Amino acid sequence: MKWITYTKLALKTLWSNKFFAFMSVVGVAVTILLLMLASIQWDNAISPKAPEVNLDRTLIVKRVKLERGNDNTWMSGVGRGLIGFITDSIKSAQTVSVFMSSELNITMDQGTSQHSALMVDPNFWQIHQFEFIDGRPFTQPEYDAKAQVVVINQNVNRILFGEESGVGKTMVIRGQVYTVIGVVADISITCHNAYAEAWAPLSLVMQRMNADYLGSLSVLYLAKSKADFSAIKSEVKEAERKINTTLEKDMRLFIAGPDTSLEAYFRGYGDPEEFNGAVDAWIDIIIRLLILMIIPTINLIALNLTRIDERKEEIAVRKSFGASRWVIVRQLLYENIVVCFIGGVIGLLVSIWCAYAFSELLFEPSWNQSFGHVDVHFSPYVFIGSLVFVFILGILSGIVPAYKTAKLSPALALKGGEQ
Amino acid sequence: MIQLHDVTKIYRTRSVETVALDSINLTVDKGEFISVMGPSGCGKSTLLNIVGLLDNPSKGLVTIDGKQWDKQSDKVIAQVRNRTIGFIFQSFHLINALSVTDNVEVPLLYRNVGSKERKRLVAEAIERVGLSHRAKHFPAELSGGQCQRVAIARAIVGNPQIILADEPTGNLDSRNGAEVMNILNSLNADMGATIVMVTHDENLAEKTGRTIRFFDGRQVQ
Ligand SMILES: Nc1ncnc2c1ncn2[C@@H]1O[C@H](COP(=O)(O)OP(=O)(O)OP(=O)(O)O)[C@@H](O)[C@H]1O
Ligand SMILES: [Mg+2]
Repeated sequence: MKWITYTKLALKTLWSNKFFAFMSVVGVAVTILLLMLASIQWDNAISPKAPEVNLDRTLIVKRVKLERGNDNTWMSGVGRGLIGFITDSIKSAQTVSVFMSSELNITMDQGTSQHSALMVDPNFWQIHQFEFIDGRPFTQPEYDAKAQVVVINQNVNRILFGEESGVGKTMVIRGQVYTVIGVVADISITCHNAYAEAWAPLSLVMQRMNADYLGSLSVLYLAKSKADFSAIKSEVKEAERKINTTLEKDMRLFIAGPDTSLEAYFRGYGDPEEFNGAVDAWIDIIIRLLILMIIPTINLIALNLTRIDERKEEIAVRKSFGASRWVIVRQLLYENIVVCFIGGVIGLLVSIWCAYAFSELLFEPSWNQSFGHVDVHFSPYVFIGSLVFVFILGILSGIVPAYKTAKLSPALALKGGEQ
Repeated sequence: MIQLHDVTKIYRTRSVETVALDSINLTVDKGEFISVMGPSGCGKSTLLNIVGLLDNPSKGLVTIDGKQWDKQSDKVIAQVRNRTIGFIFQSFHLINALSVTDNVEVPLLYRNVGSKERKRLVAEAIERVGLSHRAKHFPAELSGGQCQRVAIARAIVGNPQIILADEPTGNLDSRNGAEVMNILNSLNADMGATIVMVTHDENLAEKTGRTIRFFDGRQVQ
């Protein structure tokens, strides 16, 4: 039999038992929906996209843990006291950038508005590739001179200056006059390391920070290639070891990471020492996939097995007229794959709709209070992966019932079917 | 064409052993039309199942078209069922999910026939049993006699050398029964099909070339 015949047959059979078809399709669709949403979320967090075009070459340190004895543990961002040890001294990195997230209250004649901001250094503009609509980023001399300059996104520009470009215009932030030097396209909140609505020199606030190990900074490392990741990681660990030798006896410092984007995505806010990096992250992904797969597989197997009785007669008739066991297995498997495919496509379409409709829920990171702009990014790999998943699901859930059904002896099965 | 040598079939259930066929020896020549008679439960359907390779005998040899098939692989047996044998079951056994056309097409799906040719053969077989006006209907929408005729169309669509008919007129009134008999007769006469027909009707049996009678699994005549 040709595949087209199998397909027609599968559709006819499904049509003749709409309840079963509906149940199976819904089961698969829900699974694919969940899988797709998880993958889209995950893909949006870890795959490179403007301005984080180098995300696959970046490592990040966001968290530090400090212990005194067994009783006192502090966990927070990176402090200014650590900067000298883990930035310029890390030779394996091509570029290192330090930044801090913040909120800016921008005052204009018409009033004050609050915007999420990043305080960044000049290297930040090198690691990320911002699309400047107008103006430019600030330079090293401006940074060193603590120039009161700011880069804003289009949205802020629209709020403050309307349709005109704000470049060259001024605004008041914390009682100080700042000059807008650049306007960039809105950044998606899924760009965890670059997202903000305004960016100002970190040097402006650096001196006000304590020279502690704990603080609220993050450090980004750009590697020439992924191959340098381990060198960067070990250099940071070496720095950590050196710092620990200078600490009081009962004190101990632990630096979380540097993390790849995948590791950062899975790290969460628990004890950084209990996170085992990529291995854990991958195990986590595999376990999630398996759980997602087990439920619909069992569901479909159960549905298919309950139908064996109902289909005994048909199978026996087919066998009496020349269908071999293998042909029957193929027919039933094909049917199951068609069910999974229909469910898969429905799940896929619904997931795309959900990704837009519920983008706030899906993509807003926990640290962000005010919801920002989201570009949902769809990777072809996520789609291809889902279709492969659907196919495997179809085979896994179909093979056992198909084989069991195909084994029926026609003579016995027809007896059972006699009215 | 068909040879049974010392064929015995024993059904074993938990407590009872039923000897459905007891040392049957039977030869049916090519082109013969024979009828099988006997009281209910004497083993007629069992005989047809074994001849049609749907079931294995407990003992004895079955030869179809000069070859012994029971030890062959599933694939080879499937091919014989497909090419050589056409079954008309005691209770139709149509596939309810499929239309008349699709039901009749079933045997052709398992051989190399293009879809155009399939359509032609199916239409021909349906016409032969006089059901062209019901081709798109589903079994549930047909009368018993019409279902029986669909079952016949399905059995003959692949032009098999052997037709095994298990009470093909059992569910029909005498007029419809006669019509079915006509179809079988012409298949036998025109196409040279070898036919084994189970029946309870002496009048129909008389119209066949030879009648064999069973009693309690034994051939009595
Ligand atoms: N699968 C089975 N398991 C146990 N016993 C069976 C089985 N199939 C048939 N039998 C027994 O074998 C005997 C022959 O059955 P068979 O169906 O061949 O009878 P038959 O001659 O076709 O009867 P009828 O005219 O009522 O159709 C019967 O006694 C029946 O109870
Ligand atoms: Mg019978």
